[in-house]
Amino acid sequence: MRIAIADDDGDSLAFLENVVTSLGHVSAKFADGERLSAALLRDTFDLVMLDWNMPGKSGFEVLQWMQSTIDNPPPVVMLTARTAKRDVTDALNAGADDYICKPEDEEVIAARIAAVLRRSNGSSSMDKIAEYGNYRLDRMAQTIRHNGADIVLTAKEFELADLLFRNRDRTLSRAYIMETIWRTSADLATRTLDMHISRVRSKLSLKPENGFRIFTVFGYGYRLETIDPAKDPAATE
Amino acid sequence: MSERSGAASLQRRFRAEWAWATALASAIILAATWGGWTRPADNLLYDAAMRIVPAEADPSLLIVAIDEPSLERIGRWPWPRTIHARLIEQLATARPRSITLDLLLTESSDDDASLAAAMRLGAPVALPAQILVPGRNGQAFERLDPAPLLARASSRIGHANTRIDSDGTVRSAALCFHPDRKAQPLAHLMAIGAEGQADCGTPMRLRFAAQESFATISFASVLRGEVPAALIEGRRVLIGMTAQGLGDRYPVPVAEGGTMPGVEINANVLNAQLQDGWVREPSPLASILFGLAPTWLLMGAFWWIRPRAASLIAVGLMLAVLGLSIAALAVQWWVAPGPALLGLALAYPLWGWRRLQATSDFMADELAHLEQEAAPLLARQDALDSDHVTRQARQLAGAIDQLRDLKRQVGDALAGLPDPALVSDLSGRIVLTNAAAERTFGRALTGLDAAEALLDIAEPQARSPLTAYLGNIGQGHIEFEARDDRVFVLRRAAIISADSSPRGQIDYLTDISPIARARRERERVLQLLSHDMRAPQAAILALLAQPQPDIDRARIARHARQTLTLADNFVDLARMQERPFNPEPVIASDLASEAADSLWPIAQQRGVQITICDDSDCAFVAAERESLFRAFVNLIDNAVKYSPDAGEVSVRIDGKGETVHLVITDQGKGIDPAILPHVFERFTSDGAGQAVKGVGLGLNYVAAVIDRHGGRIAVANSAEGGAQFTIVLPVAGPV
Repeated sequence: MRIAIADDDGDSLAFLENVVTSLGHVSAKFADGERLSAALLRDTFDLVMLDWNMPGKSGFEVLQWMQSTIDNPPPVVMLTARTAKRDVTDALNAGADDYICKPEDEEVIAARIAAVLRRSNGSSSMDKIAEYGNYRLDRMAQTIRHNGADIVLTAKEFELADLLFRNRDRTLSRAYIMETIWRTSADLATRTLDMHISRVRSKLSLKPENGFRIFTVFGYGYRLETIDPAKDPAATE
Repeated sequence: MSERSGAASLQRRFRAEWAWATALASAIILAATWGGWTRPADNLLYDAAMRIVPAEADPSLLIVAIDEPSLERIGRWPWPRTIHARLIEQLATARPRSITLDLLLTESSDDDASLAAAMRLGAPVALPAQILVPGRNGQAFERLDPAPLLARASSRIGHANTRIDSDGTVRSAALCFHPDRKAQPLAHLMAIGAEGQADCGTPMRLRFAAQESFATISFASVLRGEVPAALIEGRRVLIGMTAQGLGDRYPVPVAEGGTMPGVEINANVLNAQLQDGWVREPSPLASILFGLAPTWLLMGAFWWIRPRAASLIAVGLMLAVLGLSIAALAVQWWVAPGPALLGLALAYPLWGWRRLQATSDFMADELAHLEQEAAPLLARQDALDSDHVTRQARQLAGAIDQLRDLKRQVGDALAGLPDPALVSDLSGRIVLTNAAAERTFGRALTGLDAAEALLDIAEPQARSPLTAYLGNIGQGHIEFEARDDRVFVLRRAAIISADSSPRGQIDYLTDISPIARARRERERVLQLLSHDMRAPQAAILALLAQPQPDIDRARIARHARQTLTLADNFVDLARMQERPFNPEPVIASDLASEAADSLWPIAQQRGVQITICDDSDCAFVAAERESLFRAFVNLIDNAVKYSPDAGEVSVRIDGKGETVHLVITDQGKGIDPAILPHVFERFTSDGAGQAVKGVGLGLNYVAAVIDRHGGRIAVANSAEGGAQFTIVLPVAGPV
């Protein structure tokens, strides 16, 4: 998973990064609310950990902005030294998924991150077998069956297809996809992702006739859209 | 004053000064020739030349010298005439051809009889008469003949007067003495055969033999009988005084500062008479011409050669004159070189002086004018320690520096012009141009014909108006289209010098391609608004105006959509042309797939199948995603529209080395072959109007996008009849 951490204190940032990494997730660190907001516009995250008190845009302001601006905003865990009951209720009411009062133990924080992620991704998302339209994914065998035929995919292609299916109708940033599948975005040629998308598209025949289309969001990333065959094409024309 | 008229006035001034200097030099030469100003110098030259080319001594001459040894043996001078009588007797026995007794024996003496007797012994003996000028008796001259006895015994009597020039040197002799017309001329003692010559009184220059070149024997030796008769026999014997103490010696040209005895001079006269060794002199006219010619030659040369060479030529001419004089003397002509040399020596400084004066005046004039015209440019630097010409030269140097600066400024200004400019001379040759011009014309221009260069870049149909414009200077400007689709405004202006004569012309080109493009764009917008967009609206209104209550919603929607598509395409095209090209690597087949996906709803409605056949193996192209995507959409959209219901649109992508090919084929009727070559041009519709939706601007947009990507687009009708668009795009380079 890809987790954004925003905190103006360098020590806290390092501590939280350590917690996230130990859970096997990828972290992206931000020193203030402005930079986090900018990143949220062009990138995808599975979870955002927000400190309340930050110079410029406070964590609470970022939270409110996310809820009003971002489509399908990722879950938010507020992490702050403010312990007043009123602050806790305000944050949760504004859309935060959890509220952790600093200081807190590493294990507690790790457990609460895992809980939020579990809730947001749904319990069935990682079942052994998953079906999306005419596509049947076998996560153990890493094969996809479509219209009664097995499609041969490489491990990365399967992972990419799985990621897209699981996040169908959600726009994923290029950085998110690369860090999720390849664990890094630094050393990876951007063409690698384009080529994998292209292969997945052609191997799985992801096209409107089959109920899906891969849509490139220019300058951001990709979205696997489901096409409702029942929808009247004339209406969209 | 302009440079041209200034130079002309300088030319006139030079001509006048030249004529003046020539006239003055000629006058001096004439005066020198007539006045004999150069005679002393000429004489020196003559003497020197004479030593170089002396006459040959005639071997028949024999001088019997009354020399120092004779005086010692015989005793003090004068000797009694018996001594002479004995000598003549002695000589007569040896039978000489003739004897000349070059002694003045005018007074009678007792010994005359014995001498006269000796003179009659056989050999003819000539005697000199003395002529006194003026005479003692108050007459113009007085002739003193030898004593009567001797005179009767002599074979001939002649005068022996020596002509002494004003510098004391003897150079000439008169063949006879003829002081006035009434008197009988008296021939020279030695002038055998000169008697009766009409103008024998005129002195003639004598070509001397070298000193002591005549055979000489001592008087005493002859007297004593020591001289063999064979030596004397048949010779012309001259008896005369040579001893230093006896006088009768004169400076002569060949004596080199010394003197020559009178007898030897007379021997030379005889020698000249025998050998015709007289030096002739040219007529006065010829002398004057000889004096003038070299100077005129030199003055003429001044027009053609540089001053340094002129001085060399002057020296050369002087040497030539001298050489000519010496050479003439060798053939017995004396042409005095003095006037010619004087003229040559004068002409050079004279001309130099006048020319300097003229140049100096001219420079002063020009500088004054320049100062009036460009006062701030000229800073006067009059130093007190320099003379006038130096100051002028300094001012001139300053003016030249400023001119150089000005020229550089002009050059810089021209080079700095953003638009092409050609400066050409009167013949049309380009003499000056700038970098913008070389860029525009794509070649070096200097030396080419300006009009030809301009016509060369122009569109063929623009050439004749352009020729007309260029031929009629000063008519505002002309706009023309170049072969590479650029549009220029040309202004030709004449370059007029300060004295308002034409010098050439400047052609100034302004590239108005962006303006012309904007103008075309505006026309396109007007076309779009006036026809393409109005037509569907008019159709909608027509539909709404129909009386029946059930409105054909689908048709109205179609018309509205047509207008919308037009507007979208128009906006897309306009936006794209404003943006710089900023590509990123994109997989061509992915883009095509997504374009096809986006058109699926429309295709599905008509049952049209879009098949993607990808053999490109994820080939990347450097693409501007949005515009290329829209281009693909436009093409596939067109293909779907023209397809029959339930037809197939095939999109085939191939990677071929450095290019990616994208072929879109439909199964429609194809494109009318008449408009096939024009489908990518603006405002093209297939003429059917209603049947075609959103064409025209759409394909134009596609062509613009492909062009922007450095690709090519072609259209043809496939073998099955449908339209087939082929796009070739270059593959993106490695990351």
